[in-house]
Amino acid sequence: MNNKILLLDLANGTALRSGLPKKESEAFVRAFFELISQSLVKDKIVKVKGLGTFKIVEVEGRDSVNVNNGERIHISGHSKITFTPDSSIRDAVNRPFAAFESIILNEGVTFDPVEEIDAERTSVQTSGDAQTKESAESLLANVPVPDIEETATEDDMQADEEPQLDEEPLIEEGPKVIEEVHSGMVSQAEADTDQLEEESITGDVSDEVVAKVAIQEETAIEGEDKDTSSRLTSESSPAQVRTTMPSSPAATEPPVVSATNSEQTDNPVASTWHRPVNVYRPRYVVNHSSRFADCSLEELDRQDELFSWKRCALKTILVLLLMAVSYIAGSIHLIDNGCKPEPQVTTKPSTSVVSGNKSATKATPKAHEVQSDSVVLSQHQEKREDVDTQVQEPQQTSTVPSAGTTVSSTPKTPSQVEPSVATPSDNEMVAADASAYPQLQGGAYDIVGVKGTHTVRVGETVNSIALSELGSKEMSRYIILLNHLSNPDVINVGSRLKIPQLSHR
Amino acid sequence: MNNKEFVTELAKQTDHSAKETQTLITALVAEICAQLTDENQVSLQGFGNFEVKKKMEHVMINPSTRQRMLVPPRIDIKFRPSTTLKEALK
Repeated sequence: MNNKILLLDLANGTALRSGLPKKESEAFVRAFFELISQSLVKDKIVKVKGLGTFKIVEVEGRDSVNVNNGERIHISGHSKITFTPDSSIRDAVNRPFAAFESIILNEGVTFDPVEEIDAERTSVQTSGDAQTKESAESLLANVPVPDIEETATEDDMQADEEPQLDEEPLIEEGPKVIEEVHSGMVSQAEADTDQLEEESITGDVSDEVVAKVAIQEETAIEGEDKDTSSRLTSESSPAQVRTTMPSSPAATEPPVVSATNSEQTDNPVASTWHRPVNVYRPRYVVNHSSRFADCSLEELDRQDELFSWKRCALKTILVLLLMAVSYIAGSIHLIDNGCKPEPQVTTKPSTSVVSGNKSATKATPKAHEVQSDSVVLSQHQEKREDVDTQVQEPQQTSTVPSAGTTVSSTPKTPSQVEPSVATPSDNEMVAADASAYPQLQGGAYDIVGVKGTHTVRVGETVNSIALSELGSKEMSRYIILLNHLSNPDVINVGSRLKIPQLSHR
Repeated sequence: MNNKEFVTELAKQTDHSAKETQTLITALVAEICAQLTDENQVSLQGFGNFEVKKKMEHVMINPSTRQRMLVPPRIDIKFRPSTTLKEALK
């Protein structure tokens, strides 16, 4: 990486690949490039399959400015040599970015002014990722970033003058936005910070890098990572982390990139372009928690695998256990009551069953509970015809039979978060009232008569009426029951509601 | 000079058969490609050097359609001819 390969090295390489002896290979390579030069002079164009095309292009004179002193110069016409690489070699070299495509920008997409990465990143650190970020940043700081070229350089000017084989000559937008690759990996189309990107990518890649990194790199990085970021300033680690890049970019980057790329194509406008990351800055820091410190690579791999498998397995087992237990408990409960356990039992009524009254605690022994439930249920079934769906919310109707004991039938007034009236676990419900309102089993009051009537005025609700007539919004349920209101949310102005006479139990 | 002519000419000059030179060329090109993929610079005296250059993503405007496009980052191969070669041409 960043080495200079000379002719001899090239010759040795070809000797290895072709099986030719070194001397002959060297002669061949020399002859090769000699021929190219000669043919170029002669024919103005040389095409080598697999490598590319060398061309001589005539450039006409132009007036320009001397960069040093600003005076006008005339650059005379001349010829220059261009090289256009073949698609095979071009793609091979571009493999880290193979998954990217150009995307069309719609109107109004702008790019925020460039901010300092470090400041931006550190300001939004989460504590958990602090180490990752720190180490990433120091790595970034210390990696000699290979020069990223912006396209409007002199070299590219000459490229622009001749039409590229694959691209139209394109005009660049005026202020060059210093964007980094990372923005291409915008993982979320969210407007908040790109720490999310970094996290996700660091997370994704670090796992894969672990698997692939060679031993010596690993131990070097390991030793450093477990401590503060300052230790990551060693030369070897950036270089070595970098070497992982070409070896594993195909694996690491495309999976991340393709996911994000598809997002890009779907919704390029919505994504906010954050300051992109320098192309070759290693974002993927091998960050293991300290439990991995002092491990060799093999151990590390084993542990990593073990841990992840163990964790997964444990989690799934736990979840399954919980599900099974709750299902069994539920079905026992219901079976004993003579009902089928139905999957759509809404938990709302049962969970909200907190008896607003005397003693219904769930601490009652289950057998007792079950018994009381069955008693209550039988009565419910008797009375079911009386207290019909009028009083039940339409939606809840289907679940009422299955919920059995719980009276989800209590229509929910808007402000009502109250417990439904009956609690299955209430022992005291055993003695069921012979009143026409079995729903009130759990209630604190009995309806013993009619106190009067109330004419509904504009802006009144059942709750407000209960409050004014009976002293509490809680009493609205009694009004609803007495008046058989099918939809307690809708009471018409001018209608007469009977106000119940209540007696405390 | 297209590829075929080049191969035959090279074969003549290096005393190999055309087929052999083709395989040798393939090997050589593969070697260059491998070095470039590793971000090494291939430098040849009197000829020039091949290097890779990273280009950041940028916004391009298609001149004909006036459509704004975001071009993704790329790694390109650059060839810089040496002065001797340039002189030879002039």
